[in-house]
Amino acid sequence: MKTFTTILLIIVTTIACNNPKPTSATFNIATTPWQRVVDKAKGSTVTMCMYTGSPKANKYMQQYVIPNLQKEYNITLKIVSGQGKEIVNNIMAEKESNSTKGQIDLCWINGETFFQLQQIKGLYGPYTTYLPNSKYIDYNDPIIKYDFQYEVKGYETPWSKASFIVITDSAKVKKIPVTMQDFEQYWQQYPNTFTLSLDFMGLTLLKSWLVELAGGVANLDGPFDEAKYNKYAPQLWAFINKNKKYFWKNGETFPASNVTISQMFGSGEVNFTFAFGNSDIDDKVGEGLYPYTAKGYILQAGSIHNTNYLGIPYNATHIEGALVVSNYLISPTAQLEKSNINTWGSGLVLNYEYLTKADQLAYNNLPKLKYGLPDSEIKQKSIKETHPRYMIKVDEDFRKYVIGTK
Amino acid sequence: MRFLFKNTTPLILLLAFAVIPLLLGMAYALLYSLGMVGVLHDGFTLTHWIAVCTSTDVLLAFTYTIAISLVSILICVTLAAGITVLLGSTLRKGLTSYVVYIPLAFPGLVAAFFFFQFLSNSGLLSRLAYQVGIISSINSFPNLVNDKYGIGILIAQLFLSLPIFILLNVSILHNENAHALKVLAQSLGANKWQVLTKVTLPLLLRKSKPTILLSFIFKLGMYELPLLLGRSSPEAISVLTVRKMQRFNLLDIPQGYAIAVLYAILVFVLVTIVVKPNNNNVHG
Repeated sequence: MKTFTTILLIIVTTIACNNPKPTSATFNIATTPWQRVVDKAKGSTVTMCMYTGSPKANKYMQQYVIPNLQKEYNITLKIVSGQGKEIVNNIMAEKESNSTKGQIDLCWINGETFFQLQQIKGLYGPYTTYLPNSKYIDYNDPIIKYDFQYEVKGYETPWSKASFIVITDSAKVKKIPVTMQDFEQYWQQYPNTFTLSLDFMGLTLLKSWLVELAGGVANLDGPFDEAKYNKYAPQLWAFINKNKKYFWKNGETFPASNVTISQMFGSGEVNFTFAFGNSDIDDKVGEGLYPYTAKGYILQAGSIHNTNYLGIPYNATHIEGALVVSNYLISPTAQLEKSNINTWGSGLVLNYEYLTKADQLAYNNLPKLKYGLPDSEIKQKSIKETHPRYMIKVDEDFRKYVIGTK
Repeated sequence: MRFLFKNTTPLILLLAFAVIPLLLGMAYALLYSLGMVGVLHDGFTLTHWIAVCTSTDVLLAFTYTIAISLVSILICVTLAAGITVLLGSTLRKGLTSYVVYIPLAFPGLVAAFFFFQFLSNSGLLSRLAYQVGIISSINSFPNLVNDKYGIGILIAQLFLSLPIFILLNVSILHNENAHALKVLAQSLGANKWQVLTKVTLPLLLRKSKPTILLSFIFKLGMYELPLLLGRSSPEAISVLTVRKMQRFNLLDIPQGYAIAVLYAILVFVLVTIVVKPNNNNVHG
């Protein structure tokens, strides 16, 4: 038994103490001409990890991106399903096991994942300025330059823009609540028809209210400010605790995911749901899930606007392939196709002004949304994400001060 | 010891495929929870364990999970025994013999979604009640999912595990020749009630004890059902563990591992306490 324990201990310590050394890519993008990168990428299979829960996004990738990459660059793009936490867990596990040949070459991430990946130094970079199609992107646009208040610094390629939208049923909700005060009135009048989820979407709603309490996003701009948080967060919890008896199931429980809320909105159990991305309503009305009277709008605080990005793991096996795919995905043709609501309808990440006249015209001629908000309105009311610490704190404290209390 | 050497092949297989990976996993979880491994580790610390042991969330999760699993297993065993005794041999033939298998075809996640769609306020049952006029609005439908008492979870668990117990009971009664025992008891002067309480039920319970325990352990580890049909608080142990491991705060991951270690200890204790004295039953 003693020998057995010793052997076990040795194995465990070997696995556990295999501390990762920082790996450096075998080639240097700064000194390699782009054509060389393209040549080296030829014939490679690039594994991309992305959220595959959107039929429209899948269609765009399968029917447009994959065949075109094959045709133009002889690159086989393999899509594997996974988002946020799965990507972080995967890269963390590879880092812990000191794996130099990662399974993922490219991943679709947003701010919280970027924050986590930067914490564990899980991303390759900086590289974005070397992508030829970066010329169409305005890297000084604060919504692109900062991902959740963290400067991107060339470690991820912007792919789409998305905004936080509230969706309601205009047939049932005559006076649409915009401010927190409006909501209070609404809840009292129509109890049991509102709830929020314990995921990213619900947290974004809570952050929007935190911004409203702080009197605008400018007040919460920059690094996490403990004093400010401690000033406004208790007001937020008091506001919710005072009103939660009017929430769905008397505010005693909250759905784990916004998917559940969207289903309940579709079946008429609640009158509000939330979305990141403007075309969501048109999609869901088209699918028959939401009523024709569904209407999107923006809260008093503004629409928390963020960009989602493409990142390359620090240990990607096919870095050149991943770079070429990233460059292709921010090409005007691929981006225009993606912005088409009949294809995917995801927000253009390129700067309109930087496009050629022909591309601008093509963009203007894209079909318009029927139920979503006009782009101009969103652009006008969009606000920057707050520092990720606010989200972590709101997540923890909502459990502590709202769910945990009567 | 000699016994071990005689049967080395199965022992090696068991060690290689079950024991060693499990122990390695446990050791890794323990080291992670003590801050000794992981990308963001800072060296040995007890802070994560202190956080877990002093957290009401963790205590609540353990209490809640154990309580709901106990109630669930109790209902399940009682109902299964009742159904087996009442329907007896009809369960072995005809349509009934197929019907009992249907729930076995449902994975946990599918069952969870099904019951959510069926029992929620805007679900099928609620709509039916509304159309028939039993309720005046969907919000007056009783809370059957995400409810205080875990009714939704209990119903879904019952649906999933009842057939297993019924099938088990039927085969026990058949293998143990319960009918002959019943006739014997009756010929010795036992009435119907005595046959049931002194012969049939003790036979069923004794023979299905290991399955009851294993099923209880299985229920302790439930994830999909409480995730979808349960409440935000209290949470099931597995839901809490996954939340700690996968939330935005990477610094919470060691706490998730600490809870996993606690859970493994609980299961280990259960297995050693209850299974050991009945060793013969498990193998026999």
